[in-house]
Amino acid sequence: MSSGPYNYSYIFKYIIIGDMGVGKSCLLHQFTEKKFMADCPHTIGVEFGTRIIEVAGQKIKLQIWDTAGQERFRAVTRSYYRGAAGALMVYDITRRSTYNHLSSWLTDTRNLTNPSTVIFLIGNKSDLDGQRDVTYEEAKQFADENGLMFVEASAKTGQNVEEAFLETAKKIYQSIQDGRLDLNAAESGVQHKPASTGRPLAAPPAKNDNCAC
Amino acid sequence: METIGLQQEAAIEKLYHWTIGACLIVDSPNNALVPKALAKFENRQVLFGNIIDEYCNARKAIVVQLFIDALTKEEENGSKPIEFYANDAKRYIGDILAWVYQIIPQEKENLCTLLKHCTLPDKEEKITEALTNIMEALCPLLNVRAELILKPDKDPLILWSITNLILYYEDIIKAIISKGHMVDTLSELSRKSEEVFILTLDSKIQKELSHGVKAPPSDLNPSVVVTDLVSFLRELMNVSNTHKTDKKIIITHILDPLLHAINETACHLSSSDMSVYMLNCIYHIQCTLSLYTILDEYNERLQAQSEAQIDTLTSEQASYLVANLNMGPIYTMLQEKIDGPLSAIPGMDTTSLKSFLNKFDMFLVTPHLYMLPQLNLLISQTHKLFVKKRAFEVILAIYEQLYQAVNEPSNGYMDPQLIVRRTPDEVKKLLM
Repeated sequence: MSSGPYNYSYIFKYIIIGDMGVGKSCLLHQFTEKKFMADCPHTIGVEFGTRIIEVAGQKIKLQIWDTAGQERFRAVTRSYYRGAAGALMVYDITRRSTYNHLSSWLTDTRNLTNPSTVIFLIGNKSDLDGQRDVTYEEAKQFADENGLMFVEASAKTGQNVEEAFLETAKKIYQSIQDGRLDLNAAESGVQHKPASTGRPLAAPPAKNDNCAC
Repeated sequence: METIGLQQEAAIEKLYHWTIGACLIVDSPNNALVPKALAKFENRQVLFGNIIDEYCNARKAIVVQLFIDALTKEEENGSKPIEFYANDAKRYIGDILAWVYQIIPQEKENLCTLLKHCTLPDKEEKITEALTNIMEALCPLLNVRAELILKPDKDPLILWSITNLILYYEDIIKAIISKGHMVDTLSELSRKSEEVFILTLDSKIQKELSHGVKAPPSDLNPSVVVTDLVSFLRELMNVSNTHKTDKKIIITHILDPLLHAINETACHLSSSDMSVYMLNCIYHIQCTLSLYTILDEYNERLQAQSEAQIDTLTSEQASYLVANLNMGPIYTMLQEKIDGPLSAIPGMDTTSLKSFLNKFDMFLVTPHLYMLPQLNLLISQTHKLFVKKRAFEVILAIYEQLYQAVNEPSNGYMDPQLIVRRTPDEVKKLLM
């Protein structure tokens, strides 16, 4: 595969959701730029970020749609669930209200994605343990009850940020391996880059003879 | 030398045909040889241009097919196609625009890969140009669907949401591809969407206000039509992404007709009732507008209208006090130039003044009994206190004049301190 024009084998589509101010854009920025963005402005509608990661020796490109948490952008953001392979659902461990809204975010996610979408719960701002308003145990229980993966992370220190994005990708990759995710489905949120199934391979080495280069 | 040249030309021609052919294949973005081949044509502009055009044409066909699939094909995992939700107009348009927007980074990346071996100085522009070209293919599909939705049979709130969605995508897509058919289509759709929205908005407002704002309730609170339209306005404001056109639309299409209707109703009322009703309505509108800074300018206009009503109400309240305290004749006498002592004038003699001042003292002790009943119907306590304060100032000013006149020796009052027992300062303290 390394000879292909793409230096990755798959594209996974992610969305990041959760209340306003929980640090969705900061998590994305930390993941793509490895930097903490202080005074991050509110997201208008949706923002986009990418990064290539490696899972089981395969290069995977993550195409991440970061959504605005504000209610007034719901009309825009709800269309991005469609076809997401992974959904990162974020709350702020220092603000209970953001945790209380998780069930409504989860309902939206379940309604607007497909059953194979991997949902990962992130309790952000773990660096602010002193101001904690939601215990780890409580959130863990919520995650277990709803079959979600879960970590507490900090977009500020970078703690567990990498893990959350990578673990989600591993789970998606596992679904592909198990055949639970159909790669041909345009809305599965996964694209296999070097043509895989049934599509004509455009670059057989034999053609080298024809093209005099 | 000549032979080499000829052979080179033949090779280039062969390579050209091969590259064009390769570009036409569905999976061309995955063909590692195409970018390499394309780089060989960098200094042959016409051929280079042709190849890019062919590539774009091929991608156009693919993108259109993908779009149609997303619109109409149900996935094996059970996800419904976009068209499935066509009865939810807002969701439908949102999903379509989101799909279109999400295809852009993919196509852009394909183009970057295609041109990765090229070293053209205007590579970025070439990529944007090709991207603009590819996106063009989606315009007719997008247009047909949007036009089906943009009909005045829908709720203005939904049409307003849709207008805002289109404006949002117009802005963000413009930031990537600044001109071309896609951007034009979106501008045209946003214009059309706004037009249909305004059509439904006007008909809604007209319908609501068609019987005028009905006679206000006896408590002079804003009538139902007013509160309904104000909450409708709030809903509209909450939908909008504070786009620059909002302000004008909302002012000219909602607030202006509403205020006009309120004025029409109010002018059938008595002067005090009118002022109180107007103040209550304006106050109700202002409370909502104050949430949105973009309407600050309009808020100032309302403020000016409020002040005019407060003036009217103040003068009503002052006249009411003057009448109830029998201050009228005294005030008139005090204004007139009279020869001789004031105490000799009937009505200004010591006995009359004493009887007046007894009554005035009652007022100082229980001023609330002398207020216009309508004043208690003002929603805003600030308005109420303000009117009261200014009316009392008028009374105080008359009292001051009387106090001076009684204490003026030439007016011939015996024992003036027994007539006007309270100094103006005392009166002021009691009233303010």
